[in-house]
Amino acid sequence: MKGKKILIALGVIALLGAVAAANFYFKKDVGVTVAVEGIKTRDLEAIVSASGKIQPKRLVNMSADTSGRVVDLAVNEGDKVTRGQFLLQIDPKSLRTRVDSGSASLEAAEGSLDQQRQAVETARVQLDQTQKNAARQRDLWNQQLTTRETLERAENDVRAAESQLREREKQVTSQAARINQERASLESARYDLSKVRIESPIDGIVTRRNIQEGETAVIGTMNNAGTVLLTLADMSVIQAEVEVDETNIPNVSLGQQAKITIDALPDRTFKGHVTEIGNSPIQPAAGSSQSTQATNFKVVVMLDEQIPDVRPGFTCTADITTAVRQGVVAVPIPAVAVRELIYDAQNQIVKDPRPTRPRRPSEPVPPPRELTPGETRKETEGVFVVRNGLVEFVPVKLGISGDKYFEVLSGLKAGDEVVTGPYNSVRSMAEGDPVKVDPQKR
Amino acid sequence: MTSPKGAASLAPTDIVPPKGLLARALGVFFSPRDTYADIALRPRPLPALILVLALIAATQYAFLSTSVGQRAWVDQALTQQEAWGVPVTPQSVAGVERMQPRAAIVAVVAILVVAPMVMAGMAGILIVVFNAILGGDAKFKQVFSIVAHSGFIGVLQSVFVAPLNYARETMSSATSIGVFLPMLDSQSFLGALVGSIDLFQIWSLLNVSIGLGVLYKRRTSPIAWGLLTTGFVIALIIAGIKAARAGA
Repeated sequence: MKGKKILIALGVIALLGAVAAANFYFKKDVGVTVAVEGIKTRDLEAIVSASGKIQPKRLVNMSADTSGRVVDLAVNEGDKVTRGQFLLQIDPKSLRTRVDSGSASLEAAEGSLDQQRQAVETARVQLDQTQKNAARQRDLWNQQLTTRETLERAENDVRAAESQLREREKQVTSQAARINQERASLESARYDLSKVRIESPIDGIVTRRNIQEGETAVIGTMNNAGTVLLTLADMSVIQAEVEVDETNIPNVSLGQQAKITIDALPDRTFKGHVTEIGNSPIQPAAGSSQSTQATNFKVVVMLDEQIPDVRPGFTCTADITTAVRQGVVAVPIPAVAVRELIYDAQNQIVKDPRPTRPRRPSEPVPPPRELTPGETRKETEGVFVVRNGLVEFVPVKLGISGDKYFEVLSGLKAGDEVVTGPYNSVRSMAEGDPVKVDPQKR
Repeated sequence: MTSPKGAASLAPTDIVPPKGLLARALGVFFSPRDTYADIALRPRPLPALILVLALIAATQYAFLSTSVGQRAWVDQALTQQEAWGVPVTPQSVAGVERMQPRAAIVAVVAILVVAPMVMAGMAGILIVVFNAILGGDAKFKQVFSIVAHSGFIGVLQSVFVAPLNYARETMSSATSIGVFLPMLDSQSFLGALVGSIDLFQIWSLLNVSIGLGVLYKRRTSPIAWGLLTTGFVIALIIAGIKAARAGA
């Protein structure tokens, strides 16, 4: 009986021991598991990334000056061309006819002018003859040897001859003007004829050909891209035209170095430098909603090296280096959070007393306390530093932003351990929260 | 002295020597059958009840007087709130935290008021089942005395758990089956179920079963199965409600 009691006691003790052991072995740690990173000094580069397209520095859109059917097309897309090289020919037949017709008209007009000049000479002779006859009749009248009627007839003949001469002279002037008109028309027709043969104005490559042999070319207008027959690009100097967000544009300046990656040429980067910064925002494309569009500015980055096989219109990304810092204290970007802190009248942070117990993960952050006179509430950037298993919100002054790190101007020192994740934990974390540091993510 | 009818054939009072309160308290653990035979013959529930309540209340008071205990009490209150599907809000947190300094008093009052009512209620239900349904003829005082004496197991639990809770800085059940299954989410049905099944409660029910078996001259195992099944069904219902409310 005594042995049974001992067994019961031992059994109970063993069970209680197991319960106690289980409680400690499986003890649920307080606080969320977080990743931390030690603060170190680093070299940082502030990069502004923007995407856009590769474009040649010179791009010529060739349009027709005269309309007509294309009878000879000498180039294809991608062909290299030199300045003055024949590109295409528009049917010259109608224009040549216009030139021939104009020449004939001019000749006819010149012949007619000669006839009219002859008629002027004839009228002048007739006038001279009538003037002499009138003078004779006036002498005879003074001697009373002729009738008044004869004298008046002779004077009328003079006036008629004068009038006829003036008429003939005007006809000559008019014909001369007509000849000038005919000559101008002929020149115009000849000029148009000269324009049916289109030649390259630059050395480059044909980047676009919108016309086929046999199709009819129409006269090009600025507002109608459909009238462009050929596009020629001078690929000796190429540039990346990228769109930079308005928030980044103040950091971009002329001459800054950039690395350009071209989607079509992966695994390679090309050097360039900023040569142009737009002063006006890029207008949104027609049909797009203005309110939903980000405001971007055009920035041109000229490539400093030759890129074989590059084509205009390739999409690219330019990483413009806007600032460089060597050996500065840096904090991982995901570690930075914003919290409302209370400042006193001297602009010093007023720290609330630590909570008496750790906040449960599901427990909401307590509402901010009432301000006392002189206190203000300000949104402050900072990081959560792990100290004795609890997090402390440390305000920081940030400098430039690198790829993964912010420069810290004040607030942290090398060796501090800051919480970098998980993202939701950093977002909902509050001063004094307990945390467990994940050793795998230290 | 006349023996109650249900216990008349157990043993004459002059052969079974009477046990003192301390002997009964120890006997509940080491020789429950003999102890309950004595309790059935000489039912004195009040001293046991007072001692049980005093010890449990003192243990709780000692634990909740510490800052660790008070923090654990707040945490437990909020955990229970969450477990029943009530969202934790800044207002509810503030309300619980206002009570934090008075946690020890609140717990002692709750023990002194609620525990006797629970024991009396349990004794009443057992009387109804064993007397009215199964034809027994024990008195309420006898059954209540058995239930009250089984409370010494609760005292042991309280004494055992208090330092554990202090070390763990929590009041979450340290003696439920759930401590062996930490992988279960406490807000899931299974997690809530294993968290509701307490080893000391099982022990206590088995102990009461022995007492009832002695009192009603019945085999212990059917009574134990009956009580354990009832307890399990109650745990199932509680777990179901908790899981449903937590999920909602």
